[in-house]
Amino acid sequence: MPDDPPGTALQRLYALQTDPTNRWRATVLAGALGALLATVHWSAILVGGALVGLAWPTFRRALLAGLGFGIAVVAVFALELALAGTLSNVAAMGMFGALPLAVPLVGGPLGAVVRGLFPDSSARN
Amino acid sequence: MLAALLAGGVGASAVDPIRSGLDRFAPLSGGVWETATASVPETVTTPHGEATVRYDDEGVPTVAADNEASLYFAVGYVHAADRLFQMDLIRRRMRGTLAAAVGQQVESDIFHRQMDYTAAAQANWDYLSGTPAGDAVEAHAAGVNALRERQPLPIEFQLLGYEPDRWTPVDSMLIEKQISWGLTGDFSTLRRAAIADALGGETAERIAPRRLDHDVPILRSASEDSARGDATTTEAATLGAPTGGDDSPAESAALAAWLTGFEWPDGIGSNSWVVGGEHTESGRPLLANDPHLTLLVPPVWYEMHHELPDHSVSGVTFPGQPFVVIGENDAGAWGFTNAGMDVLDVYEYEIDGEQYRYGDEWREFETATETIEVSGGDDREITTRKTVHGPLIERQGRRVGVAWTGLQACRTAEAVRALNRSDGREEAIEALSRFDQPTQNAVYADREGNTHYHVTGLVPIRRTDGEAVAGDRIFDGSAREGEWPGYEPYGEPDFEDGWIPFEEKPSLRDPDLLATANQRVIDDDASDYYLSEGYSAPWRGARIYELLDARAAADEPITHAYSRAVQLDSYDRRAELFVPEILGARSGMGERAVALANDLDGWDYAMDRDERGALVFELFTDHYRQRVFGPVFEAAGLDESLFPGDWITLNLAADDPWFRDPPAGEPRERAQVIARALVDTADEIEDEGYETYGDYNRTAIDHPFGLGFLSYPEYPTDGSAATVRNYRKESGAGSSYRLLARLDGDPSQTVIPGGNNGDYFSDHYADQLRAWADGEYSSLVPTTEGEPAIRFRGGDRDA
Repeated sequence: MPDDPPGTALQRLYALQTDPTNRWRATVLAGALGALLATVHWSAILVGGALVGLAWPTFRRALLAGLGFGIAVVAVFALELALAGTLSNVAAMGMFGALPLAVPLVGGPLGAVVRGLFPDSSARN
Repeated sequence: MLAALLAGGVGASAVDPIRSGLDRFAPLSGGVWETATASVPETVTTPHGEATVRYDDEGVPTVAADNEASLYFAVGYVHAADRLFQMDLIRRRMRGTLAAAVGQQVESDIFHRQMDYTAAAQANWDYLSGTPAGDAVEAHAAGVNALRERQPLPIEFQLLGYEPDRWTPVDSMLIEKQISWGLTGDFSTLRRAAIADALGGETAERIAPRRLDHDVPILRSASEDSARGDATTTEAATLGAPTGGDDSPAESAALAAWLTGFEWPDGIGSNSWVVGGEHTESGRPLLANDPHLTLLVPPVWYEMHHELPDHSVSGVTFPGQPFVVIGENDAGAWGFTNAGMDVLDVYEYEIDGEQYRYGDEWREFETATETIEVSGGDDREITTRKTVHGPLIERQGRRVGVAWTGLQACRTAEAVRALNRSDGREEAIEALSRFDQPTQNAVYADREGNTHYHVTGLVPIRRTDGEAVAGDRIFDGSAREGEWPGYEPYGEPDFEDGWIPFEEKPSLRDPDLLATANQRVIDDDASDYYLSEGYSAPWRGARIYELLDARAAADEPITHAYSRAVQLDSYDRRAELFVPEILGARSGMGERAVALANDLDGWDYAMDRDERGALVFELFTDHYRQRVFGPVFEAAGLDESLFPGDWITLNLAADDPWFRDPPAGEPRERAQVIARALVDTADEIEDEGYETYGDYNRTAIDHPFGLGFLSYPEYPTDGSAATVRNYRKESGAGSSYRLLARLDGDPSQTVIPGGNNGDYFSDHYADQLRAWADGEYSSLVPTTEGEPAIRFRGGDRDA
């Protein structure tokens, strides 16, 4: 909003979204935090998706970021299984093995939907 | 709209099934994946003392300890690490709480609660508690619980969504009861009565005889060591209507069929043989054993090595039981096969409401009302009843009392512990004298060159009016027929009185060649005791004796390699008997039947995977049985589970009244029946696209859940239900462990059908299956070098 005073949380968010360096830093940080929390509870996948999405200036890009976060979670999970030597076992589990892929790939973008509750910064100027 | 989408997504995750699914399957946090990434803790502090566990390349642990408590604590720990779900499933089945975990098992729970195995296990524990064997069982249970508290639960618990209760010594006793029930819980009496009710006693005597006509009992010479008692008759009852009650044939058949579902599958049996040093290359005995049980994921057996300062023992344990059941120690080796002793009787009563007549008095049933919890369904309330003999089994209006030796306390755990610690034949025999359940053919050989055979287990001497009687009939419980002196259901029996004395059971000291394959133990006229209602067909027993005798007669030494060849022998004596009959009937057959029969011409009767003849014959036998018995049994209202086995089916001569003058339906010519069965076989082969036996005869070993990824892969293999190399595709049973023990200093060899570790994510989940299917073995050698995988340190920590 034009009458949002500079330095408010929303203004700082817009500033972050529009600065490519800070945006990526925030994305990585939010993603890492989300992934870390996801080792404790699955709801962190939604939270991580939301945090990652908020770092991006448009809703569409936020959804892509949420999807990217979901893919990253899948990658971390696959790496964890590979290190434990059980990746092929999980891959052979059929529907049950597909669930841990589906959850972050849906949950990440779903969390990023939060981004849509805020107008794009470009639309406000 | 976005808010609605977000709220919908988050809201959906709050719905219980979805939330539960996410709890279990979400990546990184899902409970299912904990076991995929966890490893067994390397250091465990226990008050039981120090021990180490080292695994070999096949995940077989060697547990070394300073004392028995620390050894068995560690054994319990590794059992739980590798088999916790299997252990829990067995105790649930035996306690009658299966439906609470998996639903849809209410009938099983009803039966198991009626039998009240839990009370029997409690009686066992009451006896065993405080003894050295009881101390071992307690330490083992503590080890199970220590693992259970430290490790993520196996995937099966995650999939079902429940956590197991603490493991108790009574649970270990339930494991023992389960095995005993599987091997001796036999309702043949009811099945025969159902056939006699429907088809008449004379027909039943022909198609369901108590004795099969052959000349290869285990003890081939009547003069062999079997002592002669003087108190028991072997006279069998004449088949006909049960002595008590007035139930209809349909009710008899329904009860028999229902109970058959709680017996182990048809064909459960085993092979063993012992060869004295006079026939071997090394001059030391050879011993072989392969128990044929239901093949499961994970396997029935858990292979391991126990190392204590004063003895070492290697072989297989039952997960949930601390001791090595089949195997070898520093002094000798031993094995077991099912002996087929009659240790279960059935009674009918005069009943009035909640009372039954017992002699001159009317007694109240001992009743209990129980609630069966059903996962995903309505709870079910049942009333269980007991009589003086044991449980009252009720089904569709039919009620029978059951007496079974396994319903009382037993000393088997003490016996197996003593066997593990035995220092030679005499101590082993002493140990076997307390092996109360199940009744088994025990073979033993030691490094001194001694060999031994003994039937184990309490075998009741039934009495009616003081006279010993056979147990092959339904007794009139109200008239106090068939009483078992010394029997104490759900309590401690008088171990010394009322049973065939151990010294008078069939036995043989120093056998030079002896083979057991569940066939008749001894000719009836060579024993004054009634022993069994029926034994298995002698296909395997005769073949083993044939192979061993031939070698001995040729004056060639029986080597370890030869013993191995015997264990893997796939020659089918059924085919030897019946293929000539099929070929001889070709003249009256149609084109398709002749073409298929021709595939049998020239076949050497080897049930090998690349044989066409083996495929044709195996499928033919089932179709033939169906053609021979199906129409008559169906007309008489008898279930297929009551069909006679292969011995009766294939020995029915062309002029047998079953064909020429059947109890129901039109007369038939056997040749016609053969021809029709061949056409059925041709249809099946065509429909399934089979070419050779290996296309059909593949390992089909499934997980109880029926989920494809949890079941074992399918590999072609050799052998049939009637061959020494035993695999029963249709009933999912076969050699559950192959042991080739040699006492000449070189390592014995073993293999199990699957893997030692029941954890789906383990490298040892199914790593022995291919070897088993291909007839390969591993050396039974403890792992004593290298860094332990688990260290147990003395301390005050839990357990």
